[in-house]
Amino acid sequence: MLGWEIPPFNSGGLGTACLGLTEGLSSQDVDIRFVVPKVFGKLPFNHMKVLSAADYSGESQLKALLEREDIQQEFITHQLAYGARISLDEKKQLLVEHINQNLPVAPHIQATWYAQQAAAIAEQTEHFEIIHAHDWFTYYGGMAARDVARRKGHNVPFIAHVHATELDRSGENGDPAIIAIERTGLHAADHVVAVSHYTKELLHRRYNIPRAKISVVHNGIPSHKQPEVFDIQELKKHHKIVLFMGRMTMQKGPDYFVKLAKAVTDEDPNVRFVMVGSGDMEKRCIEESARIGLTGKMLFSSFLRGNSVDRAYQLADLFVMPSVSEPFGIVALEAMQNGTPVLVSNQSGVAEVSNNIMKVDFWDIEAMKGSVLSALYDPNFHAAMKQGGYEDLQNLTWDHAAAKMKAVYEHVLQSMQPLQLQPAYAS
Amino acid sequence: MPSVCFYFQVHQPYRMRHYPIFDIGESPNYFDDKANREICEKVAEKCYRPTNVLMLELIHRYPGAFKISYSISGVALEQFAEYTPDVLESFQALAATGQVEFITETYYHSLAALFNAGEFREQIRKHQATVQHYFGKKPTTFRNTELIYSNGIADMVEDLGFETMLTEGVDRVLGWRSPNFVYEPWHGRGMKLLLKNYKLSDDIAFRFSQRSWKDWPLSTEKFADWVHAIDGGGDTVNLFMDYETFGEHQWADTGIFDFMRALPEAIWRHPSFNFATPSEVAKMYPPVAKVDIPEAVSWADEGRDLSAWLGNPMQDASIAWVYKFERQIKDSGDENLLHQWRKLQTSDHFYYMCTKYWSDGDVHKYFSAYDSPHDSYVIMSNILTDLEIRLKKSPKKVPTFTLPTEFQKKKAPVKAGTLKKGRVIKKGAAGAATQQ
Repeated sequence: MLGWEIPPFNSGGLGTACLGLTEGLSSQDVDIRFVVPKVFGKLPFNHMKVLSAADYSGESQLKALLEREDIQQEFITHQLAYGARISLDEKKQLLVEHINQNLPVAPHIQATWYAQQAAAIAEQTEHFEIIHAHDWFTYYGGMAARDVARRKGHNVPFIAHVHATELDRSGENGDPAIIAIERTGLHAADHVVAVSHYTKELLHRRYNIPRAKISVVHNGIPSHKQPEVFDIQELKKHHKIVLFMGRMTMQKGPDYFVKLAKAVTDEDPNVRFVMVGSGDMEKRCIEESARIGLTGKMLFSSFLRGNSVDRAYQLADLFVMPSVSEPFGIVALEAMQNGTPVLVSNQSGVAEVSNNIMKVDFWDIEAMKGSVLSALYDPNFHAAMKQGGYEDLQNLTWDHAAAKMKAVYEHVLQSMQPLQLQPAYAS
Repeated sequence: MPSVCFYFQVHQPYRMRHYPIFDIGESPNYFDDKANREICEKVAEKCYRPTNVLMLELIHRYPGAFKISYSISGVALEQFAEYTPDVLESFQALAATGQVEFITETYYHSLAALFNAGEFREQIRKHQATVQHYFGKKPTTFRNTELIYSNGIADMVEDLGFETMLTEGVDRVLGWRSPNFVYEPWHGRGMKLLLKNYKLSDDIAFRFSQRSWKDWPLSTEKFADWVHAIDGGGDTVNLFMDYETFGEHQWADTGIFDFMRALPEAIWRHPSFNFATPSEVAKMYPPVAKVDIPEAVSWADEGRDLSAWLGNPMQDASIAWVYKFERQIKDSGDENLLHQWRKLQTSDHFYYMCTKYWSDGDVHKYFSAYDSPHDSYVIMSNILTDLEIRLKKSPKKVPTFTLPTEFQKKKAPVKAGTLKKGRVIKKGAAGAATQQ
C-alpha cells in the first residue's frame, strides 16, 4: 500500500482513513506493507509494517526511471536549477531534503521521487499481489511498482484509491500539475476506489473515468475504540456550542461557517461558535470574525490531537461541516460517535451513509441557520439525531469498509489477464 | 543654561498564557507565570541589574549633579517584588540618593485614558500610592502609557494635581517649533509639558548599534556635540527612552554601558549644561507656548499615533470587550477579579495583535510573546469568555446605599442578598436600597 501519512504523524483525514482501513483489512488476514514518504518516529500500532520511502536507496531503478521519464527528469533539473552539474544521487538526495523540509516542490517532483522509492521497495519485496495507492501523491508510485512487478513477470494490479481530488481541495483553482497526475494515475490504474458516490460521479464527470471501473467503499470509524467520556465543561452549561473541526482551507468551507455564526448569533447571541483547526484560511477567518462583530461569540483553537478531539466534539451541541466539496468527511462520523448531532453540506460523501445527519447546501446560510437553531433548541429532535446516529454507526465501521475492500481486491484479481510472454529478443 | 533631562521607562506586562479552549470556565489562571518570571529574570540580568549599578555609580561619582528619572509601571513593580526583589531594592537605593525622580503612570500600563476616565484616574492613584510606598515620595510628574497624549488627557491629568506631564515631540504637532523648551497643554492651568526630543533619544535607543546608520558608531563626544548644538536655541534636551535600551535592546557588547558611563562628563565639557529631572526642568524654565494636540499622539512606531494598539478589528473588538466588563467586575466586589481584569488592560496585549507589517512589524514581532497577532487575539477571546462565565457564576453582590443615620427611618435597611433579581424597591421602602 502506498500512502502519504499515517497517524500520529498526520495532518488530516487521509492518514486516519488509511489507518482504519488497514486495521480492518489485517483483521481479515490481508498482509500489508504500508509505504509513507518518511517515518518520523515510533508508531503505536503493529497490525502492519510501515516502510519509510526516504530510507530506500534504489539507484538502479532510479536511474532507469529517470532515463525513461525524460520529461520528468527535465522538470526536476529545471525546478532545482542544477542542470547536469550534479549526479543522479545528489539529485535524489536533494529531493529527499526538499520533501522532508516541506519546501514547496513542484508536484511532479514529489510524485516522481515517491515513484522512484516505490519502485525500489517493489524491487526488494519478494511477493506482492496488489498495489493499492492512496491519492495523487502515490499514483506514479503505483505505476512504477506495477512496472517493476511486470518486469519480474507478475501482472499485479494497481488500484488507485481516491480520498480526495485536487478539484475537491481547490475547486476550479486547483493546481493543473496535480490534476494531470491524478488524471494520468486514474487512467493508468487497473481499478479505482472512491470513498463515496459523490466522488465516483466527480471522477466520471471531471476525469472521464468509466463508471464501471470505479467501486465505492465508504469510510468508517474504528469499532473497537469508544471515545473517552469527559465531564461537561462549564462553558457548555452557559452556552449552546456549535463546532467546526477540520483544516481551514477553501475545501472545508470555513468562511461559510463564519457567515453561519454571524447569522445565528444575530438571532440568538447566546450561541458560541468554535473553530478547531489550522490552515491557510485561519488568519482570514479570525480577522473576518473580529471585523463582523463575532468577538466573544466565535472562539478558535489550533489543530487538536488525541483525545482532545473527542473532548471538542463532546463540548459541542452540534457539529457543522460546511464543506464546499467533501469526498467523504470522517469527522462527521467521529462527531456522531461522541453523541454530537451533525449538519453537513449536500456536497459531502458522508451525507450518503446516514439518515440521521442534517444536510444543507454549503452556500445556503439561511437554511443552515434554520437547521442549527432547530437542532439546538428542539430537544426531541436533538435526542433523535443522537440516538439515530449511534445506530447508524453500527454499520459504518472500518470492518465493514475492509470487507467491501477485500471484495474489490478479489474482483480485480479475477479480472487480471496473465502477462503475455515476451519474446526473448525483446529485452 | 540648558538641561539634559533623562527619563527611562521600565515596564514588563503580565503576558497571557496559551489559554486553551478547554480551560474556559475551568481555570482562572490567565497569565503565564513561568514565562513572566523567566523574562523578568532575563531582563534583570541583562539590563536592570547592571544598569542600576551603573546609574548608582554615576550618581555617587557626581553628587548633586547627575540626575535621572524613571517611570516603573505598577505591574513591573509587582513582578520585581515577586520575582527579582533585588532589582526593586536597587531602584530604592537609587531613590534614596535624592537625585532620581520617580514618575507616575497608570498602574497597569493601560490605555484607560482612551476608554474609561474613571479607570484612568483610579489606576493613576493606585500607581501614585505604590510609588510613594516604595520610593518614599509622592510623584508630581505624570507620563501616560507610551506617552499617549491629547488635550483631553492633559486635562484629566491636571485635574488630579500633577504639575508636569511628559509626551512625545511629534513633528506634525510642533511644526516649526522645537521640543527643547517647556510648553503648556492647550487648556493648561499651570501644568508644564515636556516633549521628547525623539531625534536624540532614538539615536541612543534605536540607532546606537545600527551599522547601516551613517553616524555609527556613536561616540560620546559626537552625541555630546549634538546636544551642545541646542545651546542658545533651547532650554532642555528631553531624552526619553525604554530603560531596557541598556543591555536588552542594545546589548552590552554594543558599548552602550561605556557610552552612558562617559556621557555626563562629555555633556559637562560645555560649561552651561546640566542634568535635571522633569520636575526640576518644569520649575527652571518658563513655558514658551501652549500646544494644541486634539488628536492623541504617542511615542510608538513611525506614525507616533495609536495604530500600534488600535485600528485593526481584532484590537478594536478585544479592547472594547475588555472595558465592557467594568460595571460587572466592580459590582462583584472581588478584588482579585478586579486586579486580573486590569492586568488584561495592559497595552502590550493589544500591541501583540498589531498586523502592520512594514518596518514596525519587526519591532512588534521582537516584543511579542506569541507566534502571530491572531494568537494573542484568540487567547484573549478565550480568557474573556472565561471571565464572562466567572462573573455569571459569582454571587452578585447587591450594591447597597445606606442613608446617613440621621435620615434613616426606624426600619432596618434591606440586607444585601435578600433582594430577588429584577425587583425594584419602591420609594420610601426600607431605607433606600438600589439595585442594578
